[in-house]
Amino acid sequence: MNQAQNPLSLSLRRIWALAHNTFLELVRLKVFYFLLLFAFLIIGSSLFTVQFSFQNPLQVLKDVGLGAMSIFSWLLGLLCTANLLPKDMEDRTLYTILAKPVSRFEYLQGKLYGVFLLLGLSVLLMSLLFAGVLAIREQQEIAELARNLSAENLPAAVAEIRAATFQMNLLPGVVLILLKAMLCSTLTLLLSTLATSSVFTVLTSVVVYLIGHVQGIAREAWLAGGQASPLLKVLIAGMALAFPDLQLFNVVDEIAVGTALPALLFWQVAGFGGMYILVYFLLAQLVFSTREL
Amino acid sequence: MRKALCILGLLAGFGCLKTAAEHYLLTVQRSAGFQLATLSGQTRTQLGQTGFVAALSGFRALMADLLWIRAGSAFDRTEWPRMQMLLHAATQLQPRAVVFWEMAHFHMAYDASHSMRLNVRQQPAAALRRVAELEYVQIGEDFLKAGLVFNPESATLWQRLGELYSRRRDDPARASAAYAEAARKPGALGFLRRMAAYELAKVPGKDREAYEQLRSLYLEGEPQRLPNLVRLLRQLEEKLAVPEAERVYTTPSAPSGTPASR
Amino acid sequence: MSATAILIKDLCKEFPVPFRRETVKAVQNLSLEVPAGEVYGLLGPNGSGKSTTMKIVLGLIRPSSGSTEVFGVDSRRVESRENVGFLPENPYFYKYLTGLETLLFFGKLCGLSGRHLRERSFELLQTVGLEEAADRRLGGYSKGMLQRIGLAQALLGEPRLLVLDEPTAGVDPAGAHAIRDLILQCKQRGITVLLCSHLLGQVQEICDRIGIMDRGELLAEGRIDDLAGKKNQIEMVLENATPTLLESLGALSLASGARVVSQRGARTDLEKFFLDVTRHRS
Repeated sequence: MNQAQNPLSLSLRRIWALAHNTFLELVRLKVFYFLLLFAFLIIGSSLFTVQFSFQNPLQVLKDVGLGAMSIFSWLLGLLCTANLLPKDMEDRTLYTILAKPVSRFEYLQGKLYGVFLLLGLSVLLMSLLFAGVLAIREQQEIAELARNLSAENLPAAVAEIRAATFQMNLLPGVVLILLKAMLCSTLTLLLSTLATSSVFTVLTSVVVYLIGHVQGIAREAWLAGGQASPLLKVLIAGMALAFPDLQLFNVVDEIAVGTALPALLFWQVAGFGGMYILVYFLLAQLVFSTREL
Repeated sequence: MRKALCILGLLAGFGCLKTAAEHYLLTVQRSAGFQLATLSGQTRTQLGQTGFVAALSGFRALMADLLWIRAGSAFDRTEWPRMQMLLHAATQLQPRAVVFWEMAHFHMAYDASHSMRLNVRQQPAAALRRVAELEYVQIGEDFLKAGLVFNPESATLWQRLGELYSRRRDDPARASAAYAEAARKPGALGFLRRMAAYELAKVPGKDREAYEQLRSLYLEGEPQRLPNLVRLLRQLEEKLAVPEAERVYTTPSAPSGTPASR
Repeated sequence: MSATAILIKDLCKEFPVPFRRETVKAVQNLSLEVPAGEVYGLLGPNGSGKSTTMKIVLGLIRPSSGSTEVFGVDSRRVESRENVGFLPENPYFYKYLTGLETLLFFGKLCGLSGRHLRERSFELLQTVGLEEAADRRLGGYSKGMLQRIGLAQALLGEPRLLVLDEPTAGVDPAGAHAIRDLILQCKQRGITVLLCSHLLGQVQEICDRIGIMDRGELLAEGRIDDLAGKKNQIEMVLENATPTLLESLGALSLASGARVVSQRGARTDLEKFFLDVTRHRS
């Protein structure tokens, strides 16, 4: 065959081939059209929010955008991941791939990285579009102000507008949105190694997502040790132990109104998310490696 | 079977570890100003089922905006109690948005309370109108104080509290304290220290302290020597019979100048 | 180089039945050896355990007991697949990839890269007669084309063992013929082939040795001639034979102690006829 190479680089090349292929699959399945919805939403609400006089229209637009980014990236990751394994198994492409010198560990990694690649690119595209629309609206608002306000009051009003647009300090918040979507994708991958139908995978993943966002409430109630019935206590404790607290990744709303995210805190939350991704992935590998194909 | 138990044990161990990590992260985040929103019963009622789920899963700020916009339409129809509930829900969802607290207090302590005072058609008794007016001032004050719990470092909210005590309560002592607090916050505007001193000067028995504050402001230099400050300082010097030699403002004929700022 | 391509020893595979205590025995005590360079046909009705055996050889599922080795490496190890090419039954590859992209993808999984990979891919596309369809997506391929691209990807890593599962299932006679020729080419190049099929005619043409499985057990095994040949009989096809000649041949046979067992008008092979007709059209 070809020249002898070290097994690690060969393995990385295989993983990359699988990841690239997964990414290509998703792109050619036209999942990016899904992002058009995001574009419609942002541009639509940018036109729509003009009529809100009671609340700063740019603030509303920003909140729509950040919320939509959070939901869209999650949904994209979930729907793309849920079908990867079942489809390969159904079409028996999995046999062809695993009959090559490819380990299941490499295969699973490749699939997941492909989804991560897609998510990263999607979040980047959404951010760019979002920042672009906000910048245009910002210019319009400032032009409007310049017509209506005296030169004396203008700088303060302009500063207020600027504060409501897309700023660099939002970036760590956006990264955490991406990380949350990646975590949920890994969870979906884990579920799909367990499941026999993708309907089950999707539904369970959605439920975990919803519970993940109230988990914090349950956990704090459990740790505070209130007066609940023993059954309820066990239930709440189970919920706290089994589900991830996804609310911890939602920091962008506070950043948007001016709360500074300390760098250490960002890395702590990011590390926490990374740990979750790792654990879910290893579990998925554990299940997948023993699964009969 | 043993393997399954082993895995289950490991998972439980991980669950405990991650729960501890989550608790720690939540504490750190709260102290940095994150995760402070409360979704208590009233807020939930205002949101409805769908809105509640949306607020939990990424659309919290947007839900706050929507509540806020609904509060705007309540304002247009002068439905004050409804507006109060909506403002409350919005601030609970987005407690770090200072502008929400600020505007909420303003709509209650000024708009709503004025509206109560002028509400002759529905409430002919002046005394009762006055009671209603003061109730809304109190609601506005409560908004500010609640906002300060979430944003203790906000100069704006402290300033608004000072204004409320000064204009709506005729309570110069508390107004002065609030202004002084505002002046100590990061990003505070320069006039807040003067406001604190002006209010203090209105408090009976605080002449000496007010005088000291005004004097030290005066000594800071030209930008502080505004006509109001100079006038008050002179009055207090007279009132306290400050010896001529100690007076900062000895020659009434000297040009006080018209300082540039404000 | 190990002289044994596939070695199966006392292989058993049981599948659990969901919600029951019993199990289904897919393969029972199977022992089998395929020497390098041989074309081995594994025959049997549906559900006889052929596919399970093949999957175990390829490391796709684990044996319940016993062992399988490919060129001396345990099938459970990834390295065992370095010398193996596999064509699954009715292969579906990624529809969104073109023929060339498919080969490039699988080539990378085999550890190939760069120019070498491209050259090898083009070469194989030519070998299987798909060079014109190289840039078309697989979604538009016919069944025969899919089978051929499948064979091409199986050959990418220059395997020493080729595992083929029903390689001509659902393919028209012309395609089947082409695939058979490809397999024979591989055989000439010394590649070991494990062929699973229930098309007995095809197996008879290609294979050196066969094994017949039913309900997980190997019932018979041996060289085709040994199993299917009738040693004391011979067939003879005559052209332009007159009735007189036939009569005298019969008499001659009787005189020498032989017996004419059957005599009928010869027909052309239907496959050959079909191929002749369709070839003339094109």
